[in-house]
Amino acid sequence: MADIGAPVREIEIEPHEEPVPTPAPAVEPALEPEPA
Amino acid sequence: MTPEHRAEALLGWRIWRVVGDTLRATVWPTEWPALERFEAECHDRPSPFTEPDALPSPHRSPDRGCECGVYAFKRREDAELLAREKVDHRDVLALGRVSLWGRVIETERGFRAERAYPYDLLLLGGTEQLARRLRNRYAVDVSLGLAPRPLHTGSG
Repeated sequence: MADIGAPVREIEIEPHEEPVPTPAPAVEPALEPEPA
Repeated sequence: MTPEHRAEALLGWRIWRVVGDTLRATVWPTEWPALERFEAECHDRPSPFTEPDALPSPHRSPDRGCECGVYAFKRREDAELLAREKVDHRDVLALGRVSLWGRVIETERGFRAERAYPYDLLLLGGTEQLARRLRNRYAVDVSLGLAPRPLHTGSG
């Protein structure tokens, strides 16, 4: 174990949003406009 | 000890071993999942040689009476020093900041946390291709750095 020293205090952290990235949505290829 | 409450994750410094395109802890070969929080569990299982009364009871991690939890340093220099201790010729190491939340025990030089996810990574001695694979897999910034110089050199 890494030597991080003795405990100083305890913190309870509840972020509004967890700092975990969400998968990027799949990018669909743009449709070519149909010729008039 | 009454815990202080916060709504912002803390940032600490730690190192990982990079196996394939996966981050693993350096002390235990635990895999850090991509796009999911890493959640600490205490594996302090009772030994058949211990007295029944002395068995550790199941507990939420981290606990002040145990050594479990996700470890991180407050200072980058401490994580860099650990990288120099852990470096070998088999694997690439990654140094980086890590978001910490849930129950966190702050210590003199770092933290032990319940939940964590990499914030950014510096690949120590890897390739641009590996950096790109990690960036795509974990969806965090990954840059390239030099391989750490081993702490113990020579035979003396």
